[in-house]
Amino acid sequence: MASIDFAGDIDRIIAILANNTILNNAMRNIKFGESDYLKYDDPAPYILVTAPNSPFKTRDSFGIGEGSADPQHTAQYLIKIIVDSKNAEKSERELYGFIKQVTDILKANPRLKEPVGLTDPKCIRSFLFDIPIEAGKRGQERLVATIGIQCQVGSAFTLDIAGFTGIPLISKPIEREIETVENIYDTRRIRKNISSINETHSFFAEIEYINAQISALRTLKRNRAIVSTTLTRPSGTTVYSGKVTEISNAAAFDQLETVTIKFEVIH
Amino acid sequence: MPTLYNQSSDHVENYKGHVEILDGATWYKFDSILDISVLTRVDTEKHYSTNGSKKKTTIGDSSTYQFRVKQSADLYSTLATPTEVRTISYFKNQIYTLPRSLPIISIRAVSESNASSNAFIVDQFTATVENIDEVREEGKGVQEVVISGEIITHTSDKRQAAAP
Repeated sequence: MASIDFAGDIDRIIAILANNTILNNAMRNIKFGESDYLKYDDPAPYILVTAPNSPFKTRDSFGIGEGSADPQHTAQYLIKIIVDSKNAEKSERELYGFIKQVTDILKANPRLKEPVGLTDPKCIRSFLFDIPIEAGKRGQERLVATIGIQCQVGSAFTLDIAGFTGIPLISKPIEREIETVENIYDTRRIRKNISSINETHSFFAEIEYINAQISALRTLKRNRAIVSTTLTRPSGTTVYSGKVTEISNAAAFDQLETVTIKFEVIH
Repeated sequence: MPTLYNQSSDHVENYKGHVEILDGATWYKFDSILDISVLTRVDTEKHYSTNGSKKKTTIGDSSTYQFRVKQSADLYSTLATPTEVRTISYFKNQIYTLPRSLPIISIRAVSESNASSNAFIVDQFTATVENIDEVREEGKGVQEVVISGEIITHTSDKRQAAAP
């Protein structure tokens, strides 16, 4: 469920950063929320994890209806790194070092999973959108850099297949349930009926190319066995029986490579 | 004005039809029937009467049937001497085992129309099994079997209220 949980997400980011022993040992504190400006409470270096003034970035042209009661939303969070070293150069070097550590840690866990067991992802995907260094403090001993991370939270459409649960779909599934018919005409060639010949039912699902998942899907396809899959939409969940008949790479853009699978449904 | 009939509201729709074969007292229904054809052929002799008009006299019939189904394991028997009349194993055992005999089966071709009453048409007959084509064909997902023979006894071919 795509609930808005700013505090939970911030706590998760703190847990991920704190789980890195090197970073955690280097920091005096990794703290929830904005600074209260009581400097004596915050010996540098330390990290503040908070949200911007307007953390909720979801834009939706259509709004929420009964069929889309659980949409995705986009949220932004800020990781502020504060250093205060012996001189400006040392502070700046130290700051860049921490920025590298923090960005590496966050990029290694883009779904913000619980860091020990790598379960319970907080988001579908994330990216670092900005790393400004506080302009007024440049050249000083006390420096502040803010790493912005944008998270896509919740997935309205997910697929359970090949032993994986909750695979988020990149785009809405295309489902085709087609009755092939013969047209029946009368003597004046007016269509009086359509008579059923047969039916087909399939759906296409676009997912991110994750090697383990695609490998399992290929095995599933080559086994040619009838399997069960569950497609979850905002308005409900449907269990299908059938076979995977197609695994096609879609166009890759930016850092996202996607794969479209075709599932032939049998009844 | 002629009375219109054979309208779409009475059409027999392909997807509703099925074929049954009798084994003992039980009718078995083919679940993957693909085609069935029942061809009624009357053999005749023609001659002229004493006044020169054309006459035709029945001398027999060569009516045949043929149906095609997907091949399935239960079309075959596990017994060395098959007893299940509905199986290809039984047909072949009858055909090849000495003394050779021609398998005779009872078939019911059931059609269902769009008619609001008496929607079913049931063509029932007994027939020989004379041709058994077991075909593995490239491009097909499931192998197929074509069975055909000659109709011996026409039982009935009538419209009725319910499927048998």
